[in-house]
Amino acid sequence: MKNADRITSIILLGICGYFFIEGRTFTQFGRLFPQTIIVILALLSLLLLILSFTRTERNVILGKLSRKHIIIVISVLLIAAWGFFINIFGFVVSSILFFSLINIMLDKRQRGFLPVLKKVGIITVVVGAFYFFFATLLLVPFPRGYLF
Amino acid sequence: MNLLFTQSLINLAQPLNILFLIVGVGAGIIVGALPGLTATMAIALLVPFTFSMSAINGLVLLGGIYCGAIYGGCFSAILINTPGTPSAIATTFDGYPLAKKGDAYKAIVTATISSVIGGLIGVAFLLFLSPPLSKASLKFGPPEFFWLTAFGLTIIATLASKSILKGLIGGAFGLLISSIGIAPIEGSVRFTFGVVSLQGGIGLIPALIGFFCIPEVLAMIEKRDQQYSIIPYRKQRKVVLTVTLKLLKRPFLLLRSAVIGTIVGIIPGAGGNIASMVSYNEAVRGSKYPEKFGRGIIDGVAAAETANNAEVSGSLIPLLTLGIPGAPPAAVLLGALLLQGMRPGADLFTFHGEITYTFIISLIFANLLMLPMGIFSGKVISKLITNIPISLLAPLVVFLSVIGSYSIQNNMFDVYVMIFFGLVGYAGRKTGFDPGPIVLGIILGKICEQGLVQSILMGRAAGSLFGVFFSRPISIILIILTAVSAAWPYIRKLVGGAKRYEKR
Repeated sequence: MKNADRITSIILLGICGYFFIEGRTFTQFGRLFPQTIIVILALLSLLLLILSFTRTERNVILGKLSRKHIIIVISVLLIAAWGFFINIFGFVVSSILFFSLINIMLDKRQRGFLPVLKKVGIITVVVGAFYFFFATLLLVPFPRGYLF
Repeated sequence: MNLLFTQSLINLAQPLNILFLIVGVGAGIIVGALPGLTATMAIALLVPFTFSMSAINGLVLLGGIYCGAIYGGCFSAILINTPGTPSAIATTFDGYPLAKKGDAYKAIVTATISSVIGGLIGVAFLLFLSPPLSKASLKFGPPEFFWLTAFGLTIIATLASKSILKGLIGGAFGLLISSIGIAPIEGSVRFTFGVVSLQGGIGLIPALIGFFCIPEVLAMIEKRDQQYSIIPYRKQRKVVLTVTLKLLKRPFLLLRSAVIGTIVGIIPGAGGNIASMVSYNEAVRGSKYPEKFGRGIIDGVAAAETANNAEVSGSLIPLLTLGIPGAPPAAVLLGALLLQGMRPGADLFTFHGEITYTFIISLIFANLLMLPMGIFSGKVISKLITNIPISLLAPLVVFLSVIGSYSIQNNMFDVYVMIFFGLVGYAGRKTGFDPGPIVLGIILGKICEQGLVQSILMGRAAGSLFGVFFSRPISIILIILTAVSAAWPYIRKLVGGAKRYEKR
C-alpha cells in the first residue's frame, strides 16, 4: 500500500457519499447533525487527499509482504473466526480452540505434539477457571452455542 | 458534606471494598508495567464485569486499576527504557539513565514517592473543585453543552493526535458513528443498513474495547520477536529515606508538577503523556542545573511521575461534573458510570453523593497503597515484565474482550461490533489515526447533537438563533476557549513552543 493517506481519504469520501445519500430520507432534525458532520468529514478528507499528492514524504504502511504481515493477517482471521464460531461451538469450546490456535501460532519456542497438548491443557484450565469465576461468582453471562 | 465523608469512610472500611482496592491497585501496577497493556485497555476490559457488582465495589476497583496502571508504567520505563503506558514516556528520560548507573531501585523509589504525592494532590483538587463545578453545570443548557462538546473536540484533535488534520478527521468520524441508530429528536432510524441491532446505536463499551484492546493485541503480535534487556533490580539500604528527604527539599518541583498534571487532566482529551512531558519540560526550564537532565537525575523522574499521577484525578474533574472525559481512561470510566445508571453532573454529588465520595476517597487510599506495593513488589514486577509471553497475553486479552463486550447486553452483535471496531482501530493506527479522537467523538456525539438540535428549537421559539448560540455568557466563554484551542497549534508554533518539545 504505497500511500496510506490517499487510500484512507478515498475510503472516507466513499463513506461520506454513501451516508449522505442514506441521510436524505431522514426527517429534518434527524438529518441535520449527521449531514453537517458528513460535510465536515468530506472536506477534511478532501484536504487529506490533496495533501497526499502535494507532500513529498509518503506514508507507506505496507512495503514488501513479510512473515510478520502474514502472522497479522492470520491473527485477524482467527480473531474474526473466534467471534463467528461462538454461536456454533459455544463460548468455552471456541475459546479453548482459538486461544490455543493463537497461542501455538505465536509461541516459537515449543513445537511438537506433547508441548502443544500441554499448552491446550493449560489453556483449558485457564478458560475453565475464568468461566467458573465470572459465570458462577460474578454472574457474568456467557455466549452459548450448540456445544458448551 | 461531613456526613457524606463519614459514610464514605465507613463504606471503604468494608472488607470487600478493601479487597477490591488492593486487587485493583495490584492488577493496575502489573498491567501498567507490561509494555503493550495500557490503563485504558485494563479499564475497558473490566468495566463490563463491574456491571454485576454494586456501584461502589465497581468504581473502587476501576479507580484502583486506573491509579495503579498509570504508576506501574514507570517500572518498564526505568528498567527496560520502554514506557509501560504512554503516561510514563517522560519517565524514561532520566529513569533509564539512573538505572544504567546502577540506581534502578533509587529511580523506582523516586517514581513511587512522587506518584503518591502527585496522586494525593490531584485527589485534593478533585475533592474540592468538583462539587462547585458540578453546581455550575446546572447553569448549562443545550447551547452550552453544544459549545462544550465543540471545545472538547478541538482539544482532542489538537492534543491527542500527531496530526491535527487526522485528529479532526478521527473526531468527525466518531461523531458520525455516534449518529447511528434512532435520532434523539423526531426518531428517524439512521444508518442501520437494515440491521435491527443497530437501532439502539453503537454500544459504547464494545466500541471502546474494540478501539483500545484489539489494536494493542495486534501491535503486541507485531512486536512478538522484540527482546527486552532488563536492568537488574537490587534493593539498596536507606534509599527510601534519602530519596524521601531529597524530594521533600523540592516542594516547589512536586507542587508545580502536580498542578500541571491536574490542569492537563482537566483539559478534555489530553492524557498523562502530555502532562508528564509538559511537567518535565518545566522542570528542566526551572532547574538550576538543566544540563543534568537526561543523564539520570531524580528531579526528572519526580517531575514526570508527579504530573502523570496527578493527571488521573484531574481527568475525573470534567468527567464527574460535566460528563466530558479528561483522558481516554476517564472516557472508559464514563461507560462504567452510565452502566450503573449514574449520569455525570450535580446529581453525582447529591443524589449519588455517597457513591461518588466513596469513589473519590478510595483514590486517596489507592495512592497510599501504591507506596508499599510499589516498593516491596518491585522485584516481582521486574520479573513479570520480561517473563509473560505475548503468545499467552495476546489471546488472553482477546478472550477478555469477547467476554466484556458480550456481557453488557448478552448480545453477540456487540462482540461483532467490538471486533469490527478493533480492526478499524488497527487500520487507523497503521495510517496515523489515533483512537482517542474517534472514541471521544463517539462519546460526545450524542451530547453534541442534542445540544445542537435543542438549541435550534430554542432559537426558533425565541425568534433568534444567533442569540441562543452566541449571546449567553457561558457560551461566549466556551466559544473563546474553542477558538483558542483550535488555533493553539499555530499559536504554539509562533511562540516557539513546538521547537522546545522537538529538542527533548
